[in-house]
Amino acid sequence: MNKSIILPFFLILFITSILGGAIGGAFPFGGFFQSPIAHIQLPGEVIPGLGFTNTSLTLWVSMAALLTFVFIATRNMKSVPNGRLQNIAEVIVEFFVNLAQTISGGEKGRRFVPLVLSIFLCVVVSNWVGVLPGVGTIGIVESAEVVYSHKEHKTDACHSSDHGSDHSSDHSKEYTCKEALKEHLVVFNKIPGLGISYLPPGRGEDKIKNGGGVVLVEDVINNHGKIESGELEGKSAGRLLPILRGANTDLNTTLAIAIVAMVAVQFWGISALGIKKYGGKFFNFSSPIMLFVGLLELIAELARVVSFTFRLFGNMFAGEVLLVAMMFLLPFIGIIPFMGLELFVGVIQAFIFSILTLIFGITAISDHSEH
Amino acid sequence: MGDFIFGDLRTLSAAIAIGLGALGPGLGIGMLAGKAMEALGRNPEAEGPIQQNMILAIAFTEAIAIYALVIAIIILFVGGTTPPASFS
Repeated sequence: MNKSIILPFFLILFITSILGGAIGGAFPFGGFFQSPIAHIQLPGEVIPGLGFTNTSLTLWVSMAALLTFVFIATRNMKSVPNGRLQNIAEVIVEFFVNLAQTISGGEKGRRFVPLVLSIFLCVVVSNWVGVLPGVGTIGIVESAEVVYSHKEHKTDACHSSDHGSDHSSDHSKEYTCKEALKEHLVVFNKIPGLGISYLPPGRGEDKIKNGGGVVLVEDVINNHGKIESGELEGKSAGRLLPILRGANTDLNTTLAIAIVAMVAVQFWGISALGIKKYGGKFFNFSSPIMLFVGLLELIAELARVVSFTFRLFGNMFAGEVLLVAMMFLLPFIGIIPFMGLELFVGVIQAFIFSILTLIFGITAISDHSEH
Repeated sequence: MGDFIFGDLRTLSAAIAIGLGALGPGLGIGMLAGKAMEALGRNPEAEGPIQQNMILAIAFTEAIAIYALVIAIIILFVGGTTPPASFS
């Protein structure tokens, strides 16, 4: 690669992306790569054909990737590895075994290594799968009717409109929920033969004729008198439901891993100390102050579940929102440093989760009366 | 009038939540890193343990800022009946 060509290339790319993105969209000559900002939603979306959420699907994909890696790395294992995958696996395992032995000060740290290593690998692989291209951008287009019913079920102001009406025929359904009518839909271009819609870059002057515009749900009603089809002259208006979405952007996944970690910590504590001694840490009846301290420790144990959950969820969800916002502002070039940041944060958060589980486990098996 | 008050109040409260919530952890991480640099300058051989413990403590502190961010996101996207300022 010729060195004198790299800097002008990136400079041209940077200027093109500023002019073409959202900032340039305010000027009449710019905005040629612009796209409407994606719809950000907190809970995972349930895929209509299957019964589960897109975050569950991504978790299974990342588990499949991890199991493939482990299977290939441990096939034909040799004492002195000459394959690269086995080397990488040994580096990771050795790092965690050394860490466990250093922090716990001896051989008793080895019992923590299986769970800690599993948590690290699961979290890091699912974080990285969430950054891959195609995750969050390929999916099913929900029609206007579906978008309306989502919002209608969730909003308190809309509930009263539906109870009085008759449920006999769907054709006479009244769309009276004002707030659900104001939802934004994106106009996609449809390829006529296959059932594929795509979002062309650029925001057209006529937002219905060209693809990539944004319409309101009530525009779809007014255009056709009915909302079910969402068809606008060969385009389709709807909202994208991504079929893959990073697994840790869902609160359920992180809560599950946090619960497993804390239950394992209790298990290690009880199996090492016996239930009387371990329970005596929290319910210490020797003096009122110690009782209070013990109860605070119990509350701290429960607070650890919450803190684990929200740390991982917040980092991953904020990363996803950041990538979406950067794709909107600076189309080609703005996302590059943030992809790097996401990869780094993925590793760091997985490391933090596993190290904290290890440290809580070591604290749980330690016997304070030995000093 | 009701829409104006409640729509803007929700956006404002989300901004205040994350703005004030990021003050403390920002200061904390700065102080942590400063002390770690100091310790590293005094004893360059202990780089491994110092670095690992620093990263651990930074993750704890940053979690507080993440809690504030999660509350701000919940206020914007989940809570209430009126929509906040819409995009595009």
